[in-house]
Amino acid sequence: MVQQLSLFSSIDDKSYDLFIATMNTVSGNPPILYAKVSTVWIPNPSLQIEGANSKGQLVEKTRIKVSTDIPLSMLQQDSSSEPLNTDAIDHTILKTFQDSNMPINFKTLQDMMHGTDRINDEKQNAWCLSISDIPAAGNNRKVSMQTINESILLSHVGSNSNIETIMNELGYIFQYQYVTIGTRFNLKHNLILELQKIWNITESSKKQITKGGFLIKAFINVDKATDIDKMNLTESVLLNLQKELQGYITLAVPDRKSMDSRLVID
Amino acid sequence: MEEPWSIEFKTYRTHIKNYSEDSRSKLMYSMNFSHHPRYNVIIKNKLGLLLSSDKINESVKERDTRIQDLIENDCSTGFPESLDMLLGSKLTNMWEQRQILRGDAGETFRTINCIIRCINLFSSTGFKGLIIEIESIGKGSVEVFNNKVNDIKDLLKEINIADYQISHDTLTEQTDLNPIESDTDNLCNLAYQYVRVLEY
Repeated sequence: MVQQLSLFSSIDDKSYDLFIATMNTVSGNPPILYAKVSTVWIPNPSLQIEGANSKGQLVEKTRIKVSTDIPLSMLQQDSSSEPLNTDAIDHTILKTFQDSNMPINFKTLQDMMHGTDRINDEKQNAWCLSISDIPAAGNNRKVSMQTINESILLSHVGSNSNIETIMNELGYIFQYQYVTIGTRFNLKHNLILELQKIWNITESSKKQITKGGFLIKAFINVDKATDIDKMNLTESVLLNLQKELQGYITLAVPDRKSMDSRLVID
Repeated sequence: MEEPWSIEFKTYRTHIKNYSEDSRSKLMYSMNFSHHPRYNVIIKNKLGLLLSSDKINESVKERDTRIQDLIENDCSTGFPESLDMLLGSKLTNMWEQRQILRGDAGETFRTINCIIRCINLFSSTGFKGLIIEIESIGKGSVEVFNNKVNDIKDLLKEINIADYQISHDTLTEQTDLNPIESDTDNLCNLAYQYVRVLEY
């Protein structure tokens, strides 16, 4: 169980260079390009799942997010061209993604999810299964605070074993998936700042949700919510960053309802 | 004789009414072995899943670059737990933990071509039985291994024990051409054998 403390903001495409330069100076670290694919799963609606467990405690149906990293070698300028040279890819590539064109082949992503061939353990993709609570309530919260439970699936065996069959066995079915490509900065006190481009993808369409700009997320993960000192320190570290960037970008607490992964109670 | 070991064997059953007609597929098993502290093994039907345990520390992260990759690409927060924790907290409306079998202070004997592990299993109600696990090491042939298994069988007969279960099932297609070597296969097959033996 992890507490994630975060603040969000956004910038437009043309501010990207300046912001990268600013963060480079503020953090003293170079920008790092990263990419991931996330799939979101919901409890199978055809199953009669009760809202309570055998002890009578209320348990709400929540989505599970299953995500894995995309190797940078998979990024392509467009679906027809050859993969880029990995060494040549850096954070500037994000500037070229201004429309809905996604630099990753849809089929390759599907193969990652349904792929069953395996040569050895290391070749098998590790996936992270995570369930997050709705962020903590309270009117005068200075930062968003969310509890995340996660487990890492390292590998699997069995005939026809892939992420889909595994999730189905757990009673979950696929809902939607999205790709995130972004740049991250590592700052002091485990503070991480990310600029993200997000694409919602289906077989027929790719839509960039962050069209025209970037989502900015600054966060710190704290492994023990009971460690009050650390929580307070973490909060002040985030607020310091907020102060430092004041007047330039506004890091704010998002609406907690937008970060609710529970299913609508019908 | 080597270090003592322990095991935790948990059974989950779904209480979704229309989940499946087949009573066996309503069950899911989770195992934690003290001699494989990095892993949590889940057996569901004929699927074997190898998950991170809650004992992930810095050195484990360094050894398995895949975990490192997940953290660096914003997939994982860096503090994963075993699936038991998720099942036991967030998914209790779907999966209910039924029985925990525990074995502590198990013995390990190493012979020239085998490792033999023995442990007494207890549930909350009492003694469940003795588990004997035989693992061949090195390049032992199948015949040598079968001889060892027969030796154990003879031993059991000698002390008048006729009521035992034995399993050498595997989840993967195992052929001589394709000897199983990966940790995943070994552990999941081992876990599957535990399930088969304990299922009766």
